[in-house]
Amino acid sequence: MLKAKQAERTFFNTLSFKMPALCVPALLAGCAYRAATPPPLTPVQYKPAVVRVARFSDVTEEAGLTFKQSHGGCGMRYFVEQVAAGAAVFDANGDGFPDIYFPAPKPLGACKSKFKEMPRQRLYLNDGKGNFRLSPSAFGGVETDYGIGAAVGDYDNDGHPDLYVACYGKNKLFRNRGDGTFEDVTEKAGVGVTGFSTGAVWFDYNNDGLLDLYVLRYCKWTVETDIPCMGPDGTRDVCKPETYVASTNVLFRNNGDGTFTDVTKQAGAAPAQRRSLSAVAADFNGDGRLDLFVSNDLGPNYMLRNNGNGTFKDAAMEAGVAFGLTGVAQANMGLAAGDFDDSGRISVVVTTFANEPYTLYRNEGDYFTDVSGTSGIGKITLPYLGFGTGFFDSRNNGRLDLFCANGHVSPFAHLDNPLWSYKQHNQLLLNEGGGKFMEDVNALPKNDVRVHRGACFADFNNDGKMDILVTAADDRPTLLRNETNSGNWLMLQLTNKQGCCTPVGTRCVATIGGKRLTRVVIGGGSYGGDSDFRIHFGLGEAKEAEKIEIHWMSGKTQILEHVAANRVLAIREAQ
Amino acid sequence: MISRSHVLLSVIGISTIAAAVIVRQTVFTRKPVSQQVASQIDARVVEMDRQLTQLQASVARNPKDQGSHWALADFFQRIHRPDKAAEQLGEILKLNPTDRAARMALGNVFVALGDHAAAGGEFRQVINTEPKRAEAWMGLATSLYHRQLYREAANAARRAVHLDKREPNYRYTLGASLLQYALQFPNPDDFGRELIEAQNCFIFVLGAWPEKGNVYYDLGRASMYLRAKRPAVRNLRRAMELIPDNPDIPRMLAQVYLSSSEREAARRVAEEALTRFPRDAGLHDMLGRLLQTSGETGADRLALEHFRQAAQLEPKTGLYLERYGTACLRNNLFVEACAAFETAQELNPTRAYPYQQLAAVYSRMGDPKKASMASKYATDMVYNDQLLTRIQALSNKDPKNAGYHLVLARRYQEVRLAGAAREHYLGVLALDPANGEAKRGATNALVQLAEQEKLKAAETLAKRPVTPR
Repeated sequence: MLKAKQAERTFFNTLSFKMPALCVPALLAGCAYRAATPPPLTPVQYKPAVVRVARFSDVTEEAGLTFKQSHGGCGMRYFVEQVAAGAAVFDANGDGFPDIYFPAPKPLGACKSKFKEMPRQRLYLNDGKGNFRLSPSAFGGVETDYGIGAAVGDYDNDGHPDLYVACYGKNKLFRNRGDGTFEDVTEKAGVGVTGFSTGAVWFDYNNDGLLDLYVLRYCKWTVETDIPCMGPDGTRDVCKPETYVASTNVLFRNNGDGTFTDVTKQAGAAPAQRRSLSAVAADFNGDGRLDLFVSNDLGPNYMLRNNGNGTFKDAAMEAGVAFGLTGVAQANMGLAAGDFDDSGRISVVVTTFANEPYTLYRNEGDYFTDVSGTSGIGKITLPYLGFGTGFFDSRNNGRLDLFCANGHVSPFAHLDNPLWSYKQHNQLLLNEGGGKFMEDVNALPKNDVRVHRGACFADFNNDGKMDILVTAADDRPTLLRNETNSGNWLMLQLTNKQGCCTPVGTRCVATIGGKRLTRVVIGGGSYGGDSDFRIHFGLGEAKEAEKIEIHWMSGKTQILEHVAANRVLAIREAQ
Repeated sequence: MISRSHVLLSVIGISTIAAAVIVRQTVFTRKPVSQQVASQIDARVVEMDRQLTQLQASVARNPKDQGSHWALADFFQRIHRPDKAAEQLGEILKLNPTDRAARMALGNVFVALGDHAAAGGEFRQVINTEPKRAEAWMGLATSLYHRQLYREAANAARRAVHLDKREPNYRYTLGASLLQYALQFPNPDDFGRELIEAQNCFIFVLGAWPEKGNVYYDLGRASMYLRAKRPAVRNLRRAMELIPDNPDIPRMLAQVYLSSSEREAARRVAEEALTRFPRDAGLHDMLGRLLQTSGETGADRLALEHFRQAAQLEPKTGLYLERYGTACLRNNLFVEACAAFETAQELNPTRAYPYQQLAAVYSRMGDPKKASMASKYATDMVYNDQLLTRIQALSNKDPKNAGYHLVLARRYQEVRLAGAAREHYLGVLALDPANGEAKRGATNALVQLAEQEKLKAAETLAKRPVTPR
C-alpha cells in the first residue's frame, strides 16, 4: 500500500509544469530593429487564353472499384476508427499506368466476432484505360494489422516502387518484385514500428542516394485501454484526441543493404510527443536538402529543417507554420504542398477541423506567411473538416488548384453546430491567379457526400488530365475522372542516377510562353497515402514547353528544350 | 413606528442624486451651500434635513430605545449612507443581540458597503438560530457570490430555493452562481450539469420577470456554453433589446455566431454595435477577428486598425495585444508586432502565444538566435498547456483521484485562476482531509480571491461617474 502511494507520489511529481524564464523580457527585448525588407514577390499575372471549367465524374463502379473499405467498426467507435484509411497510387507492375493500393483496417476487440469475413488489403491493377481489376495474389496472402496509411518509395533503387503500410499494430514493408507482386521484408528491414501509426514518408534525408523512412504516429491508444466516450444520445461516440497521450514519430536511415537503422534520437526527428497525421518531404528553404513538414493534430506542426549533417531542427515557430491564422494550434490533418503562386517555392496547405480555416502557408523563402484569409481558402473551408488534400492542375492551365477531401469525425457533429455534418462533400478550389482561390461548386459530383479521408491524384488513363481517388470511412472509394475540356500538358516519369523511380525532391522548372512553372516530386502529403510520382505540367494553349530544367537531388541539372506537348516523357538522370 | 422592513431594502430611491449630495453636505460637513445650488433645493430636502435633526435628537434622548435607532438607520439607508446605518444597527444589536431582523438588516447593509465577508457572518448568525429563514440563506448566497465562492453561493441559494420555491430572486441567485462557477474554469463547457441547472433557473425566473434583460443575458450565456446556438441567439437578442447600453451582449452574440460559422451575422452584429459603442475594445477585437479571416481584399489592413484600437483602449489586456501583434505581423510591421508581443508576454508570462509569435517576428527581423530562444520558451509553455489539458481529461475521468486535483490546483494557482485552484484544493481535502498542502492552498486561494474582490470594488468605484456639485 505504502509502495503504491509512493509510486503515485512519484508519478504526480513528474507532472511538473515548466516555469517561464524570468529573464525572458530582457533577453527578448530589443525592438529597435530596422524592419527587414520582405523578400520581393514577383507574382506572374498569367491569363490563360481560354477560361476552363473543371468537371469530374464519378466513374468508380465502371472502373471496377466495387468494394467497401471498412473501418473495422461495429458501433464500438474505437478511437482508431475515426481516422479510417487512405490509399496509395503507384505503378506497381511497371506497365506505365498507375495502380491503386488500399490498406485494410481490421475489426478490433469486440468487433472481431461481428465480421464474417476479414477485410483484406487490396491492390487494383490498371488496364491502361483507367479501369481496374483486383490482383488476388499481390501480397501472397500476407495481411497487415489495422492498415491506415501507405507510403510508396523505391527504397532499393531497383526501379520498382515499394510499399510501406502504416497500421495500428505493427507496420509492414512490402518489397516490389517488379511484376506487381510483393514480399514482406518487414523483419529483415527492421522497420516494424508498433503502436498507432497513421502514415509514413520516404525521402533521402542524408543525400546518400537511398530513400530513408519517416513514420508518423498518433497517440498511445490501444484497444485494451480504450475509454468509452458517449454521444448525446447515450450511444458511443469518438473520444477527444486529448484523452490519450500523444506519441512520437520514428526516422529510419536506409543502410543500403535492405536494412534500416532507427536514428530518431540522434537526428532530432521527433522533438516532442505529438499526434502526427501527415508529412511532406521537400526542400522548403532552397538549400538543396530535404526538410519535413509534419501536421500535428491539436498541436504545433513541425517544420523539421535539415541541418545537412544528419540532424534536424524544428523551426516551425520561427518559420511561422506551427500555428494557424489566429496563432493557436489547430487540429492539423492533411497536407498539400506545391508552388501555387509560381514563386518557385513550395507552399503548404493544412486541412483542419470544422470552424478552423484550412491554412495556406505561403513560402517566402526562410519563413512562411499565413495567407488563408487573403487567398479565400480560409473562408471557403471554414465549415468543413478536412483530411486528404493536394495541389494539382485540374484544367491544364498552368495553375495549381486545390482539392480537399472532407468528412467529420463525429456522427453527432450536427448537434454541435447545425451547419456541420458527419458526411460532407469534397471541395475543388480553383486557383484564380494573384494568390486567390475560388470554389467550383459544380466541378465535383453533387451526390458524393461521405466521410472522406484519403485523396490521391494521378492521371489513371494517361490522357494528360489529373484524376482524383478519394477514400471514405466505412464506405466505397470514389474515383473522379477528369472530364475537363483541358489545355495541353506534359508528364515526366523521372528516375535518378541510382535507379530510384520515386526521386523525392527532384525539382522541374518548365518555361511555357515565357512563364516559369515549378513542380516538385513531393514525398508524402495528403492523408493516408501517396499520389502518382510523375510530374505534371498544364501548358494551356501552348504547343510546347520552351525549356524544362530538371534539378536532381544530386545537384545536377538536366535541360530539355522545345519539348512538344501532350506526351509522357521518361527521363533518367545522366550518370 | 417606522416599519423595519424599510431597512431591509438595500436601496431606497431618493428624489434626486443632487438632493442627496446636498443633504450630505449640509448634514455632515455643515459647509455652506452656494447660492446657485441652494436655489435648487426643494421643499422635500429641507424636510429631510429637519427629519434627520429630529431623529438624531430622539436617539440622543433615548439611547436605549431600539425604535429610535431603527428610525435613524432607516433614514440613513434612504439617503445612501449605509455606513451610518450600520452604526445604528450595531447599536440595536448591542441592546438586543438576538434581534434577527437587525442582524438581517446589518447583513444587507454590509452587502451594500461591499464588505461581503462581514455580511456573510451576519447571515450565518441568523441561519444558526433560524435555519428555515430563506432570506437569510439568500443573503448568505449573495455575499458568497460577491466573494467569488460560487459553489458555496450555489449551495446557499439552493437552500433558499428549497425553502421558498416560488421566489424568482432565489432562483436567479442560484442560476447566476452556477453560471459563474462554470465560468471560473478554463473550459466552462465541461460543466454541463451546472450549466443546465443554471439554464433551468433562468427560465423559471423569466416566467415571473419576463422583461429582465440581465436574466436573458445570463440565459444566453449558459446556452452558448451548452452549445445550444438557437436559444443563445434568441436570448441574447432579447437581452440586447432590453439592455441596449451593454456592449458585452452584442459581443457575446457575435461570438455565438462566430462559433457556429455564421460569420456574416456575427459581422453585422459587431459592426452595428460598434456604431453605438465606438470605444469598446472587445467589439473592435471581435470585428478585427472577423475581418482577418474574411478573405476580403485589404482585410489584413482593416483588421489591423480594429486590433490597434482594441489594444489602445485596453492596453493591459494581453489578449488584445496578442491579436494586435499578430495583425502587425501579417502586415509586415515587425517593430510594432515585437513591441505588442513583448508587452503581452510581460503581462502574462505563462502564455505560449507571445513567445510563439516572437519567434516568427525575430525570424523575419533576421535574428535567428532570438527566434530560436523564443521558440524554446514557447515549446515549454505549449508543453504546459498540453500537460494541463491531459490532466484535466484524466481528472474528469477519475474525479476521485486526489493527485490530479492537487496538480490542477497548483497550476491554476500559478496562472492566477484562484477560484478554480480553490475548487481543486477542496477536491483534494474531500478525499484526503489531512492534506496540509491542500489546506494551505485553499486558504491562499481564498486570500487571492479576497484581494481580487477588493481590486474589483476599487475599480468599480473608480469607474463610477462623479456627480457634479
